[in-house]
Amino acid sequence: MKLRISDPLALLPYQTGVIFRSTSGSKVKDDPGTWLNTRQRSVELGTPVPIVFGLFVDNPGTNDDYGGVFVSPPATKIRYDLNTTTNEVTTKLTMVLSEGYVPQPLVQDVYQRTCKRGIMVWAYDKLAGPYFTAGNYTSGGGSVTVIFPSYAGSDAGTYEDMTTLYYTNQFAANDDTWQNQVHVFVRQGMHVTRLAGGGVGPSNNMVDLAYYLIQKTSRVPELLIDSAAMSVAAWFTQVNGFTWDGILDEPANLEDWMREMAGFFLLRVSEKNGKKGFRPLLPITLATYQIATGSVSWKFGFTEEHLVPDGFQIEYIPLSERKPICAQMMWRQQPPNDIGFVRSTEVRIDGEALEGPYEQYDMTQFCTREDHAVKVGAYQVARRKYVTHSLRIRVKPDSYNTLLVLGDIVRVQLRRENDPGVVSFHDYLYEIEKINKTETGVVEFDLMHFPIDSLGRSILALYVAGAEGTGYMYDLGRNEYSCDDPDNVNDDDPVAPTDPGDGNNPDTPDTDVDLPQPGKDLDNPPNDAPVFTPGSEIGGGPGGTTGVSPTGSPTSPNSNDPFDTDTPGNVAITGIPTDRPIQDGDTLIITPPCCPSRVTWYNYDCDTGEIINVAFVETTTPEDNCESRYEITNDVINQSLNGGIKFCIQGAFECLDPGSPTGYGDPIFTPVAEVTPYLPPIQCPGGNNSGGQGTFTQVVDVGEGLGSFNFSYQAFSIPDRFVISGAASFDTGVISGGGTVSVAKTSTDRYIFVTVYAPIEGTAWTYNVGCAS
Amino acid sequence: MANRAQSQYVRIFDESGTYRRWQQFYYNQTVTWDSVPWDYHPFSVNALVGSSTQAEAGISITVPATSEAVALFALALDNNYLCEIKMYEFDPRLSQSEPQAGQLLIGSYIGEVTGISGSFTELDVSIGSSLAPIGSQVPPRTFSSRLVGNPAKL
Repeated sequence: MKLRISDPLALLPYQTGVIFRSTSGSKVKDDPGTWLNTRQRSVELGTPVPIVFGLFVDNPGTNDDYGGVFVSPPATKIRYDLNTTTNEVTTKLTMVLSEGYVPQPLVQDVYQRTCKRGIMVWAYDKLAGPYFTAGNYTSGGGSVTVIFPSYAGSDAGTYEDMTTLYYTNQFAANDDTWQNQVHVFVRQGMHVTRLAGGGVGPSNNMVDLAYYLIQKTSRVPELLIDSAAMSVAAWFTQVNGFTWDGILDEPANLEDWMREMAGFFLLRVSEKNGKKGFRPLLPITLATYQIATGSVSWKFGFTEEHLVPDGFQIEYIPLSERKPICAQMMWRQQPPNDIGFVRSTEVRIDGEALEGPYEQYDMTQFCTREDHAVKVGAYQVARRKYVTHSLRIRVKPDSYNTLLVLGDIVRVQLRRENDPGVVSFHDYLYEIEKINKTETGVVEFDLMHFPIDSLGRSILALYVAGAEGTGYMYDLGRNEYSCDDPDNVNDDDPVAPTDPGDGNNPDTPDTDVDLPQPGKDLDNPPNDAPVFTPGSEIGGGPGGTTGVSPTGSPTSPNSNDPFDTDTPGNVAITGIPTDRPIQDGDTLIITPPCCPSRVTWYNYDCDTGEIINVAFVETTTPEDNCESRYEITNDVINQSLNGGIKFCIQGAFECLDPGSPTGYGDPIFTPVAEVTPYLPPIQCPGGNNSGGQGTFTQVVDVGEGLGSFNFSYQAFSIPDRFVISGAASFDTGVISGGGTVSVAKTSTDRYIFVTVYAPIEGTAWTYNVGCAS
Repeated sequence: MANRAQSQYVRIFDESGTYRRWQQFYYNQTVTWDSVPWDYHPFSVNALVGSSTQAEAGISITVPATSEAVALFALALDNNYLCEIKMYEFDPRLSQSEPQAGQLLIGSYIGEVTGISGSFTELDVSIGSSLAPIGSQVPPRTFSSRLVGNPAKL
């Protein structure tokens, strides 16, 4: 088992720097010097805000410095000043470096065209540098003609959560490079949450970037992210030296991007019970996160016992697809503080595919380590050679169904008798590619062959773990140093931050349009706006056009859940007394927002939800102020008292809907009005009711007879008040001590209400009621 | 398991707590499982599929298009509520009146309500990751007038 890794002359065009990735995302075939000398580019509205992500790793004394990103930031505002006497041009630019917080670059890392200039000011969350007026200006008495750009930008923009730069420089007469591109070598990219190692800071871990993007897009709640798997994946990439240093500025679907990137980091996008995460493509040692090169253990072994009839299907990969290949791995040699250039490394199994076929893997956007590229190449080459077949098995459901997830290793061992007396076994390890749990209970697994050697070790893991690059770093070949600013070329201080007093962020008018919420501004629509009629909304929204069916239980059995309540309409019942029980003469009112409308009143038992009856139905009109009034009488109250129920009232209104067969839309229910809960009535004579501090109401059945009944009360030393209502009326006022009175009963109603008001701490009271006679 | 029956449980919830729980096996009964009540509601889950390929990720539930179901799933769709589906297997000879303590969890899936379609009688509710549809674009932000005003044109 041997890999051959080379860097042949056949790929010289790539190595000579003719393929570059521009900051606009496309590859540019050009001479590097020419590319650096292009004209300053500007921000284009509608294009993605770039994410500069990465981390320069300096290994002094070795040939293994890597990482960092060479960025050509676009400008948002410019100013060119021409002195026509001296012919000098002064350039001022503001630029956007990246989304998020990127620390200050070093002075020595700032370029204009190919020259290190170092003159820069940095800011986060606002525009960098001192304020200047955008435009082109000419001063002096000469007559030099310079063609300036026509549009210089404007004083606007919030620059929220962006890192920005300000650059200024003065150019001598006849130096026409004043409008050339500014570049920055970024050693520490955007700050993110680091899953491996913790904290927030610059990172070169692709999993950190993916996690940031998932969070930023707000498309996936935290609950759907497999945090444990993400953490393992982050450690796996970190320990094995797989790094991401680049600019993300090409629009892509996040899931597509994750799946594409995962392969370049020997990961797969995994879904466990619906939760997304990354999982290594290779077995790993969990304690160290390194690629495991020992004997592989499998998570579950399938035998004939598990398979359902016809539950085995095998498909061999044709030889044409397993033919050895040479993987051309494209990566980026990123010198510190200079432009990176594309490198290629060929990976093939020793002695095979010497003349191809070649398969190219372009990792130049993000890969700055040869070893990283080589290991990915080794995986692809070995996978192609050693993975020979796939399986689809259909098995009976069992406990393993919840244990196995995508990417797990399983063993399939099946007895085979093709000839009489000759027994052999189909016995291989597989990686799970797909799980299908059907409604019938049968589970279907798509399995990919997982090749192992005679010692039970993963062949792919052995290839990848053993693969290393040549370690050779090409000389930069740069010979244009004369234009560097000698004061800044080796200055390793960070560039200056923007003075807090600088006002380069002018007041920005809000260009966003916020549409009003229904129920607010739409309550007062303009005259020509269509009228929003809640009851006519087809299907009903969650706000209540559906509501509770009057024929069913108004409350749900899932009452333990905070959200498990029926959504009421936004029209409440008014007129409910809050300081006493509902009683004869009270009036409850519903005022629907539509008029005319049909209103239905329901009486029902609060505890059981059983509807006692439909009180009445009426239509509201402008003549009655569009109100529906429910006059409470003793008859209404009495029906609730039989059995001592909690008495609730709810109304429902229906707006006119000509499209409906009934002429009205769906009923919209008011919130439930719970009338003060009653204790079951007590029978006269007696009661012997007593208590302490508070307000208490008790219903007493004094009989249907007219006449009077005795009422004995005792407030003791601390004053209380006794009030009788309902079929009789009496009020002791606030009193101490006790007494007995005869109370007249002039109604044939059976029930009186005795309410005791006892507001003072430490009080006690008692009363007794006789029967009417 | 020679005699095998399967029951499915669905619950729809947001980050704050459970919203609604349904089971489809115990007819017209509210049963207790995991110490909480599950209402009877007829539905079926086509299959729980996990795959390395994007196109096959996600599942769907078919429910009668009752006004309650329409309102519930429309609400879930509007609010990105999560939906959890669990499949259990058990021996029906032992008991069919209530969930058995020893029933096996053979599959579970959690996802967002990503789509609803159907007719007046039947609803197909797609459950999956909202990463998959178009719209989850990266990088997440684009240059806008609000962010950068009217930029220079060079």
